[in-house]
Amino acid sequence: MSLIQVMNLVKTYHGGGETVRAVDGVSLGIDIGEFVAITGTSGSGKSTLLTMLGGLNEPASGRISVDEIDIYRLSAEQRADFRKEYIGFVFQAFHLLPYLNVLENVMIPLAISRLSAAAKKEKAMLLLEKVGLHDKALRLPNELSGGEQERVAIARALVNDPPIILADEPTGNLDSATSGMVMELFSRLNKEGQTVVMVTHDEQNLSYATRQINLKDGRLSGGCQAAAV
Amino acid sequence: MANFCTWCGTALEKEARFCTQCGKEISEHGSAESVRSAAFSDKRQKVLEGDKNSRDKNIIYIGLALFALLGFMLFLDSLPSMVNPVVERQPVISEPFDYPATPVRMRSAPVETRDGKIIFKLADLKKNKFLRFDYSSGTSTLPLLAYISEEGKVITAVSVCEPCNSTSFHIKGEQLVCNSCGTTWEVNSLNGVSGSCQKFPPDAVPSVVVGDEVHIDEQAVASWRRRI
Ligand SMILES: Nc1ncnc2c1ncn2[C@@H]1O[C@H](COP(=O)(O)OP(=O)(O)OP(=O)(O)O)[C@@H](O)[C@H]1O
Ligand SMILES: [Mg+2]
Repeated sequence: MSLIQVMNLVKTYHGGGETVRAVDGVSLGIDIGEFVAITGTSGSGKSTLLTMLGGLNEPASGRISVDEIDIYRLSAEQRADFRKEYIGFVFQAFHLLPYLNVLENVMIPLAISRLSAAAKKEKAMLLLEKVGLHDKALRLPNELSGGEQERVAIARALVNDPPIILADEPTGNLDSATSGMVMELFSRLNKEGQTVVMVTHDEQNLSYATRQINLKDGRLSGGCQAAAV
Repeated sequence: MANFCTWCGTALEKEARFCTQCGKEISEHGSAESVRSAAFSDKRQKVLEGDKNSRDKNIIYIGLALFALLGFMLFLDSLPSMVNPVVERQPVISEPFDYPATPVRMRSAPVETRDGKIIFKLADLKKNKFLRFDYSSGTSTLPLLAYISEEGKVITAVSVCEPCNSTSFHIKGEQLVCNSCGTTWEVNSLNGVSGSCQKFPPDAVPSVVVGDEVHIDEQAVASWRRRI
């Protein structure tokens, strides 16, 4: 089985007397080491799919298994553990805490870990080095450029060594040169074996992916799957 | 356990050998991947910790993995050995080696056409392992690729996976992978391994090594037609 296995996934939202099928019967497999780009027009269900993959958003029906764990059959507690062990999230709005410095921001997910304070700090420092920001560890987020803040968010996502990174338009706020640098970083992580699933609008980013998946009205469209029918 | 295609997710009959949706062979995949997923068994253990059933579940999973492995071995045994006649005759230019498990991507390389040959530098191929270039004649352009197989052979081919119209690929482990549909073929033989476009690997065209250059027969490329 693939690392991530999605089977007939459906998510509905109810509001204003209407029901929206945000994700409408998606099935797919993602293997270890893939770099999958999810594309599609605004409202096509990309973010909804991504949050469901990360164990943050319970589907109406269907199934997601990651590493053969059926994630929505776990207890809430187990699912929190699942997110911590398996998933690193990177969002467009970086969600850095403004009153903590860069190093402390990276250490947030380690708060509940059993590591000693020194070990936590060392680990965070190593990750900041990996994203090229170790010399800015003591700055506050607002003293960094947009691309640098995004790289801090990536370092934080990596702190528990998750095998999977889920990124929602990580370059959405960045100019093209800066987003190029961020994409290079994702690409390098992917080449080191990290599985990456990224929602993106940006044509420029697609060349970094090993596979592109297109969503239309909550369903997969295009590619071989359509051609083979 | 419900039987379904692990590539595209379509639900299938218990005995199905091929996915009715994408055509992927069913008996083969369970195996390789369930062995691979053990890479995160530490994490898996942590997540399932405290779950009373986890032990029983593990026994079931191990049983399933063994069963799938057995199925996979039987499947391998039953495969007729297919030989691509073009690949078979390609020249060997290096010692056998293994591709890494992380993707090796195509690099573009300079190419020229002279005396009925499409020519690129052997040194470029040796350096990058996997090249991508275009053949242009008058109005039309055809994408070509070249790589070194794990047996050390030069493989040259038209860089198109017709069912999905993709022209880009990467190499991962011993497999060539379509960047669009994820179909995989063996790098050494171009035989299909998994995915929906297995019957359409990049179409191999003959080439020879002349000094420090690789020459592809222009005629073979110019007369190439889509297979579907
Ligand atoms: N919390 C919610 N409550 C109600 N409807 C929602 C909610 N979240 C998403 N939707 C609806 O579900 C559909 C898919 O939304 P989603 O955010 O997944 O799209 P998207 O592809 O990520 O779009 P974008 O490109 O704008 O980020 C949309 O119609 C949206 O309005
Ligand atoms: Mg979105």
